[in-house]
Amino acid sequence: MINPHRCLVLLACLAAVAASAQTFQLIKADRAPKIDGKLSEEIWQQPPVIRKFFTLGVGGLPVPEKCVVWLAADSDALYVAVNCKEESMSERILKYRKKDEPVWQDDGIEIFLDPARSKDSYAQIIVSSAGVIMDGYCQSKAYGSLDVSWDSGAVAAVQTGPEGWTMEVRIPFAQLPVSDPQADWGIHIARNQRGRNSEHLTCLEERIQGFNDLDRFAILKGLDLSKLTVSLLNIDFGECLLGQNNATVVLKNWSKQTAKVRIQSSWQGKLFPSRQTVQIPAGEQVSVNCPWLLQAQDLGRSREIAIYHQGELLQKASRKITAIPEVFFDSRQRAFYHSPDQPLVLEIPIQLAEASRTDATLNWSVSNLQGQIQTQGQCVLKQSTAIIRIYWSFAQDGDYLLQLQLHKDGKTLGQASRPMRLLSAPWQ
Amino acid sequence: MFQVLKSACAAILALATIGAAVAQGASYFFDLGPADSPLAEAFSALDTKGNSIAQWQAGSSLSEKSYPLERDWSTNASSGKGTPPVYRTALNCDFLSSAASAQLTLAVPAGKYRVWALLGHPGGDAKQIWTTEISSSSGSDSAAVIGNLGMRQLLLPATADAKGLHLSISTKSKWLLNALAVVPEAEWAQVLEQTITPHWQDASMLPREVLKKWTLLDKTPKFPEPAWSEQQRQNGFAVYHRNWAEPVWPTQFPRPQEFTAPVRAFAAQNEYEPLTFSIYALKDFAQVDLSVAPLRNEQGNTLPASDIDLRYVRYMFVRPNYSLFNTYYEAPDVLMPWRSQSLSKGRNLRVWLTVKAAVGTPEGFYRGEAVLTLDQQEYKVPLCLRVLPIVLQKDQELVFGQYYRHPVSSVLTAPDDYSRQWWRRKTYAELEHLRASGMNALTAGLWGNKKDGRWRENFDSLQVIIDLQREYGFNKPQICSFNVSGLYHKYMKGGMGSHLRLVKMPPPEFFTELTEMVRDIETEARNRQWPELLYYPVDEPSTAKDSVEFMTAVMKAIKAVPGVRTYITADPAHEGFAPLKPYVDVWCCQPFSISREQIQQEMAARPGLEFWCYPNHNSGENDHTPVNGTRMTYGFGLWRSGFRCLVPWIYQSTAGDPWNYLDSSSSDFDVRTDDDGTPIPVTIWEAYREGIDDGRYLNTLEKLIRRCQANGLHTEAAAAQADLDLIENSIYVQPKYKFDDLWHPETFDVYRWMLASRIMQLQKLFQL
Repeated sequence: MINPHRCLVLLACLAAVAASAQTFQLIKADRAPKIDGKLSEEIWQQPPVIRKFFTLGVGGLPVPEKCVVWLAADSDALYVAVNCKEESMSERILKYRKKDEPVWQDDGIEIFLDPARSKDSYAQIIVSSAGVIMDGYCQSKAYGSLDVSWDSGAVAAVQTGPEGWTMEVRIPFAQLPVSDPQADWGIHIARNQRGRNSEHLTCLEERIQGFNDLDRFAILKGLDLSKLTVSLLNIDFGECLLGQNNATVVLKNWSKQTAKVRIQSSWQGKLFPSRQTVQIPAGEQVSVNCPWLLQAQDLGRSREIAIYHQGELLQKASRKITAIPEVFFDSRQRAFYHSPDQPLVLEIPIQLAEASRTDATLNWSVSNLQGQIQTQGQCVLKQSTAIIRIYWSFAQDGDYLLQLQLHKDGKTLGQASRPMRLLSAPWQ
Repeated sequence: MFQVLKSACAAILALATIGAAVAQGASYFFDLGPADSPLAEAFSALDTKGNSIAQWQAGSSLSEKSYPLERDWSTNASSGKGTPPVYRTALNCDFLSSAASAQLTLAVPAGKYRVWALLGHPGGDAKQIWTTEISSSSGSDSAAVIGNLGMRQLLLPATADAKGLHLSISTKSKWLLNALAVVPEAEWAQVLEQTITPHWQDASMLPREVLKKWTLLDKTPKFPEPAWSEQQRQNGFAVYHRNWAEPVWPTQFPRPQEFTAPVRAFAAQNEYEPLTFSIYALKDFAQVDLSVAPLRNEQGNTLPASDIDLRYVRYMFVRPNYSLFNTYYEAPDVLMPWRSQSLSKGRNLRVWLTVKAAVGTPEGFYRGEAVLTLDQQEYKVPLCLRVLPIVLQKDQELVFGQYYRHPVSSVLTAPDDYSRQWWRRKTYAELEHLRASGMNALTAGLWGNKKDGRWRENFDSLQVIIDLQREYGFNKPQICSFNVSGLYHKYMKGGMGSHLRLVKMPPPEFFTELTEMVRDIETEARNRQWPELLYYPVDEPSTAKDSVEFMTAVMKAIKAVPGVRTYITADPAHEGFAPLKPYVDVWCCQPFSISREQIQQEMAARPGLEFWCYPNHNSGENDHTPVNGTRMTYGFGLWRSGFRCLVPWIYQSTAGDPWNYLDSSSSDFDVRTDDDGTPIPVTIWEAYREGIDDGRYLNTLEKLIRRCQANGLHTEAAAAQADLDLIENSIYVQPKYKFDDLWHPETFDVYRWMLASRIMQLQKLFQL
């Protein structure tokens, strides 16, 4: 006989999961508000869209009256207005004043957008209460990091008072990586208070452990992206190694007509960028190759790609070359076993862009400390790692020098000398 | 004919009875607990009175317990962070238990069955050890639950006769059971998949409605599928060798060159050395067995089997960081004692042998075989350990410590004799494990209150700990926390908060009393001839203004007692901590955050000043797989750094179920505990030992170099010094060694061989 006191915990919990997720309805902006931080426009006189904020990691009851947010949109952009109460205006942390500095360390607001509710990629726009913006795009939260060179095109303004501050932000749709104009967006608004009694607030009711907990983002409703024509889905600068690199730009044409897009690629500050014009058929997605050359003297410079549509800047991205790896990767191994029966196999990653290294010739030699060559060889590169097999029929324990030289089309692409200590293996 | 008819009638009658009870097909599912506790769907209630199918033997003294099903999070006032509930389900929120054996008879048709039992989450006394053994006429199984949280399952064959199926439940302390399933052998595969596995996952990971909200990541570094040889295809498996410091992920393909890589290592005479190999399954295997005979050298000397520890790598579901929720992945982690097991197609099984070369082991090549049997198919893996004529020496000034929760305090307060003995066994086994792995320091704490005008601390308890530690060679300065938080509460009527997030400056009387407390402790410590105490008032203060002001005043109050040294877990390179500098003697920070040159300069300028490191990035706190980086931290990296101590958090981090890393407010990591109280290491722990051994090779050579110099053998000393310089110059110096910019795992061994070769060469000069 089955006990009548049957617990339906499992079914009840499943039902709870199926209940509706948190949703925010946009206010329709008939006229674009002026971005001055004053919140004087009529749309901001309506009740705020987001009225409750919760302490990060705690959830539970909302903290009273700390922050309210309005969300509005027209056909071109999303508008975010914020009114923050602040007990101690003079103790706010406002260390950073330049775009894309780590403004998340200051007092301010963080806006997270997942334009296709992918739950993996997101745009993050941080605005400090001094009005300084840091924005970035994360292509894959599970496996990637935030690319701060990405530009949202956002503009912001802040007004301060004795007991708080207000902010307005405009985020154009055209510069967001919209992969589906019909899809709802995921959204999360958070506030950082860094001064006395540092605290982080989130608008999300469900308990989250980090601001980019995309699975728990609220749903943003009321967007009208019908006028969206072309979106930039992705820019990838490629390997960023010495030599001929290939950047890739992925674009989607949402409209019903062919779209013409101009792509400019150059070093920052250079006057004559390389240009190409791309025709994207209606409704199609294209991937455009933009080759570019990296040389040693480019260290410290920024490579830029800008995309224009109908004369307007659609999106711009840059990659600063902060380091140029040596041509021959150095594993820092200096001691090797030698054996008369088996070759010593060295795998040396070649840190050149693929187009430059393929079919390059690697000449190598091993000499003793007196400069006498003991053995040498050559191989042609077909992949990113050079494999050298050194056969020791003669070798004695001691110090040697490995010399490497890479050539292609009569040019030397790289050379290196590495000390080698040869040891008889423990098994001999 | 009549007997057949009677049997048939009996069978029909039994079946009719069974039909009225809960059954899934011909299987029986019982949810044990109080009659009014939640009942899992498709399970039948089984309380202390039994039911129509299952009857307890008359006179069984059984207890019952039920807990509420909670899903709401609470808030930790100190940290301000949310804490999840204990996720119980209808099946494991309740149980029956007893301190005495019990017999259970099940009126089921005759035949062969498999019995599955679920046990765990008893709540109550954290020092209670629950041991449950279930026996049938065909087999038995047992498991232990340590303390109040932990889920285990048992599986045993059973045979029912005409009188039914009989199970004996016994214990060495107390047993408990949440659920039983009795499944005909023919139904087992289906019931396992459809019923048992989901319930086990609910209980041992997270309830399915909670787990649905988590994202399973795949962090496996991908290699292309190799071209399997004809033999491998025929065998249905491939055996391969990868350096022990490089993880083998659950479903990762082997690299082609690993099929022929030999399983071999070299060791000095007082050293342990890992020998590992892996099996990639090209088809399912029901049973994999392993045996290893003693290894022998050419002279017939043996490394006995008792010196060869057999283990395998258990894959655990882990969090990306100990405090993160909602994402998890499967990672290689625990080194379980070897047991016969199944192996599924497309998965790896990594065998991990640790061979001990004791002092006095004759040098030579010790060879043997590991014999694998996969579903009666035998495969032999040649093994080789070269034992060197070297006795390694350690730098005696280095401190290898662990944050540690001493189990000895549980010995005295455990609720029954078995539990007491269990905690005693754990105490001694862990100390031996720590010692054998190269550790020589542990943290401890003093707590107490003020009585009759004097601070009364638990000196006797700490005495027991210090005496135990001394037995095992733990002779370094003792990191000692003490009751600053209690004193703060006395004056401020509230807590300081995690990282001092809630701290406000107390009145001057607080600091006066703090000095008095330290003076009392120090007087007692000298009286008892304790090792030096390093006074550790607060853990990880923040750099907020209030926090730094408070800490500076606290350290100043401690230093008002002459001769004592202070210890802080803070980064000396952070400008926010500058005001503390005159009052801190031992800085302990997570990365190697300042240069060797700066360390040497500052230590020369101020005697008693030291720089220690707590490399939590290597302890498993935020990653279970930086094995190679951990070896570097503990060996060549430490040698290069100028730091004098490594003392990570923590030897064993356990929150909630010790075998479930997804539950509770923080994830478990590092050493686990077996059912008998003995430690079970993890792969990162092995890297501690191997790194310390790298350091011993370095130190042994440095000592020989000094001996050469003292004896006028300058050419030989210079050549050896050139070896050390070559190694030092090839280290890519970093504040944290985890994954990037590290030597290849094989490179560590080549450098170690370089050191070993030179040691043997110099030893000959002194006819060692």
